[in-house]
Amino acid sequence: MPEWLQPAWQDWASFWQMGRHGVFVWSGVALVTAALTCEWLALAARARRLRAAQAAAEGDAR
Amino acid sequence: MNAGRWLFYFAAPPRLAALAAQLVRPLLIVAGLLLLAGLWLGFGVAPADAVQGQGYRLIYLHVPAAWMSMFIYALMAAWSFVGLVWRVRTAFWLSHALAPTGAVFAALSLATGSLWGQPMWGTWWVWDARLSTSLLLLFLYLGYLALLQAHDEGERADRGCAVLALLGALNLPVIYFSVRWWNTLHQGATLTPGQAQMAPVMLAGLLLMTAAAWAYAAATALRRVQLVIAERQLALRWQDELPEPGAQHA
Repeated sequence: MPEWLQPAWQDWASFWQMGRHGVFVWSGVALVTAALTCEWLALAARARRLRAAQAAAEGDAR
Repeated sequence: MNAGRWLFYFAAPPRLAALAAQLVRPLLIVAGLLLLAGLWLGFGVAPADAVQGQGYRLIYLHVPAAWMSMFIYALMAAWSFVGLVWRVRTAFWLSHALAPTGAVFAALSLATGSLWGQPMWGTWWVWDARLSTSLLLLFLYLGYLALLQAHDEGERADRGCAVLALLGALNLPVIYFSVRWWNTLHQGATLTPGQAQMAPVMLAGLLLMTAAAWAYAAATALRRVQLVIAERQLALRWQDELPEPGAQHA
């Protein structure tokens, strides 16, 4: 099996524990996931506000 | 089409908006695929570090975030320069669109660095040169965004933000060389051009995660510039519809 297909872990428990550093590593993963998700949620909210403003402008034009 | 003509071709807001609309989804897909591959190599396949054990895996989050925070600021400075010198509005808008994503990466760089520092150094934070200049970078992003909001995103804000972006860019070489110029707790450069000190599988994972962060940042900034363009066009429309001063008395 090529090297890039061989997992470095014996079992799931050691994967989650990350050799006593699991709490730091997984907190980092959670933080990055939350931040990037929030950024796109903020973009979606901005797009909704823009659509509402555009609709209001259309209404005023008529 | 050479680079200059290409640049000015897409300086027209409708052309830039159309280009952004075409690129956002493919870039997000590319980012997702690169992320999966990078996570697999970095968290699944790469062996533990000989000194730092498994905790070193934060490198796959921290280093791409730190690199992107600096790269995005350099891009903002470049677009600001283009905007100021050639008076290209869309160059300012591209800089505005990049700023929030750069701020997110700067904050993530500091947060993941802290999470790495606690188990490795025994402290969440030290006022060493690399950490302090990285914190200054975050403040520069926040200052840029505050300035943009304070002027209600008009032309004055464009110029003010551009000047701040150019001045703040002086901090970038200081961040990069801080670990050489001063004796810091922070480790040296992760990669030095021409001499990779990492196992190939670790390096591949790191480069894939960095490429994913780049594609994510490009997709996010292009999506945001679409919104900026639409917002500015709407604001212009409102302005056009406003009655002339004194018109109501005529």
